[in-house]
Amino acid sequence: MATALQHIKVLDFTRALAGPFCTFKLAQLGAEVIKIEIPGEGDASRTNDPQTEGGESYMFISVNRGKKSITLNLAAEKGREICKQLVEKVNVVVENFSPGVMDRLGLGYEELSRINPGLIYASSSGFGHTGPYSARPAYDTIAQAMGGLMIQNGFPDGPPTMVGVAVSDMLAGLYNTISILAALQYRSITGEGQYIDISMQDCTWDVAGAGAAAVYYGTGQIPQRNGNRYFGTFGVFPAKDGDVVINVVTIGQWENLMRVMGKEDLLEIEKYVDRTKRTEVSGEISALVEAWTGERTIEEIVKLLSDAHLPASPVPPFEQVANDPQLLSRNMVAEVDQVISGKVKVTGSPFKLSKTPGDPTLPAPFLGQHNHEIYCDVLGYSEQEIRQLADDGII
Amino acid sequence: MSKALEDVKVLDFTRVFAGPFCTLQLADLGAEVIKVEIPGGGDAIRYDPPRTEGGEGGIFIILNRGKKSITLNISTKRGQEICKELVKKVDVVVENFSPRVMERLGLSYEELKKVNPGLIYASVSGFGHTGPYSARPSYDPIAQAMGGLMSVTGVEGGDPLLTGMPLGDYFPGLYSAISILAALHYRSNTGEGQYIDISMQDSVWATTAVTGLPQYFMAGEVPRRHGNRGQVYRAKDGHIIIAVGNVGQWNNFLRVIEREDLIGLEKYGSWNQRAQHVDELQPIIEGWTSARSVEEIVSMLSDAHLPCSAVPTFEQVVDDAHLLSRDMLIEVEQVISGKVKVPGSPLKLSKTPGNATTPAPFLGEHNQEIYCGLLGYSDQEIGKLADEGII
Repeated sequence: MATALQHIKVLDFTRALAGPFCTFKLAQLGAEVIKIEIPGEGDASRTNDPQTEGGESYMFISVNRGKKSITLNLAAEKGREICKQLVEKVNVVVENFSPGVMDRLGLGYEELSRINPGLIYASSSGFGHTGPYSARPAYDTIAQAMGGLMIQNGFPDGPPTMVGVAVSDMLAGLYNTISILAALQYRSITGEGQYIDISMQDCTWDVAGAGAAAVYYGTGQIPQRNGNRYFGTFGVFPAKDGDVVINVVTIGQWENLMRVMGKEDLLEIEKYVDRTKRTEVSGEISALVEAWTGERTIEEIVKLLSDAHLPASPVPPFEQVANDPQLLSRNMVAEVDQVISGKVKVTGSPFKLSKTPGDPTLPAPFLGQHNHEIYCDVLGYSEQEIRQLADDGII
Repeated sequence: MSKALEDVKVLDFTRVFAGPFCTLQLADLGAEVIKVEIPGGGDAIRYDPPRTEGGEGGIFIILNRGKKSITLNISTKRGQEICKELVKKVDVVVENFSPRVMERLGLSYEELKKVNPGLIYASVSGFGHTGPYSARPSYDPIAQAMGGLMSVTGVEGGDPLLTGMPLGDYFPGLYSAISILAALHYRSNTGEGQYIDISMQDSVWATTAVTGLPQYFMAGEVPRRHGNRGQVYRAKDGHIIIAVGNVGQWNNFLRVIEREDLIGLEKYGSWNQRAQHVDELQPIIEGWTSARSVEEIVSMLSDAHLPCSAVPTFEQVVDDAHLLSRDMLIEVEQVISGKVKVPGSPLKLSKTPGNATTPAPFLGEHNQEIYCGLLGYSDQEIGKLADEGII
């Protein structure tokens, strides 16, 4: 199968989650991603729990699949020299150190673009490289808070709540991927590279602010935590044996729902007919739907609503999602064959392109797995030279 | 300022959230996005509250700024013919109807690639166009539930929780933007177009499972909802996030809270180990935070170079000096409604930054420009098409 990014080479200095999630997406789409790691230890997330019997971190495998690993000590002068030789051979550099680190190493955009004028150089950091907070350290949770997401997440009577996955890291990874691909497009027309400065706070705010800013500036109201209910017929409702999702939006769907619930008498009442008016009596409608769902099982409700072509769903526990027939049929649970750990289950690729789909079967490298290939074959070092570099702690 | 996608034309059939969020990113990057809307009504969320004084929907404006709007009734034969003329002029088609709607209209990928062989055609739907659930209707909460995100969000022992914004729409929006850009890259090397089939469920799952799947398939553990445990703590007057990572930071933190006695204890030595002992650590840390104000804690921890943060209120976020300095809250000038505040673009490219300052179009604002300018219709002809309800 062809790959979309097959001629693209990426030099990847990223660690932890936000940066590696970006280069993972590029690797999935066919780019050659060369991950640079500290000799001896590598990406700190290599030691995260849980681990395979072979001692590889599952989390690490999850977001570093499809990449090549080489070791290189950037703190050493010789390491930085070699780094610059590598920069000459690639199209894209991605890094997620704290702002200032790459500059101090002499590996900032200004420096590297002199060596490779067409270079695309993407930095991903907590608050970006400009502005008053740029020097602040940040992790996912801090970005969830400072981007305005956490304050809107949770039940109305509860505290602001974190999203159950590192959503700010992953959003930054996705926006960074979009930026790099756009920069490649621009480069293919103009030949020019450029610098990209992705902030986790910016990316979080972009999704947290889209709806909320409209409410805040449109009405002056402060967006509230809505828990599981966006409005009267849209959200999660209590069934006899658990939770059920009902999403009724349009007037046609509303009429259908009232028929299924045996409430045809409400169809003529004006305050329920218009969608905007319905949001004004949202609480009243919520109570009506809850009374109906509370007397039925999840299965009954989903069946009754699905038969009436209304969007409804259970809230499956994680183990059911991981075995969901739809996800399985779309290869969204895949297996990679790790050199050290053997077969490991991973997520499939959501990039369903007909000619160049994302490849979910590529394994994650062990530390320095591709030293020989990159240093000898790409840079032309001899066996003896790379042994010497290893002895000197450079690679 | 140059634009990354300035030569790219997109014919945009998307409505509501997931599809428009994709074409919004493309528009911010400079693509010409021509939004095709139903004459008279337009996108279903065009007039959703909250509205401007001019009656335009606030969320619609945010999701559709930078696009052009034309009206076209694609359920008529004439409308479908005009649609195909437009397809010849563009590089990308994006749609988020239920699977098979475009096929019934004679506007499927198979049909449209006959008139434009290099076409990139992206579909965004609840469950994708293949598999047993493909015919099921879906919205964001269903994607959040069926993609597993709800199962891991919320407090321990409490109900699964929807995220406070439709991430079930936004994730597929971002994944489809990435797919389209990758397909454009492939086309510039090969000249070939292709079809893209993005599923909201896939997109939520691919993002959720990065952290959840390891535990499940490796350790056989079902990932639990853990709410704020281990990272967000109650202070005297609000909540505080403490994100202590490596052992140096942890030791520093213990000094600040005057628990030097815990320094060197192996069971708290690493992030992994502390996560395993969160039940013991929670009362120790919260005992300290709950006796102090957010401001005090931030000041003490920042002095010790420890990552921490208040949980700002929404008013504080929209007033945040840093977000403002990065142009993340800007104004667009709507033809009808005047100035409206919207989030800026996070796509900070030095030469071709995402531009978020163009307004959202009123319904059919660009009919003249596209039908006359691009397709060569006369004023008289478009007058007639309007009379017949085609545009």
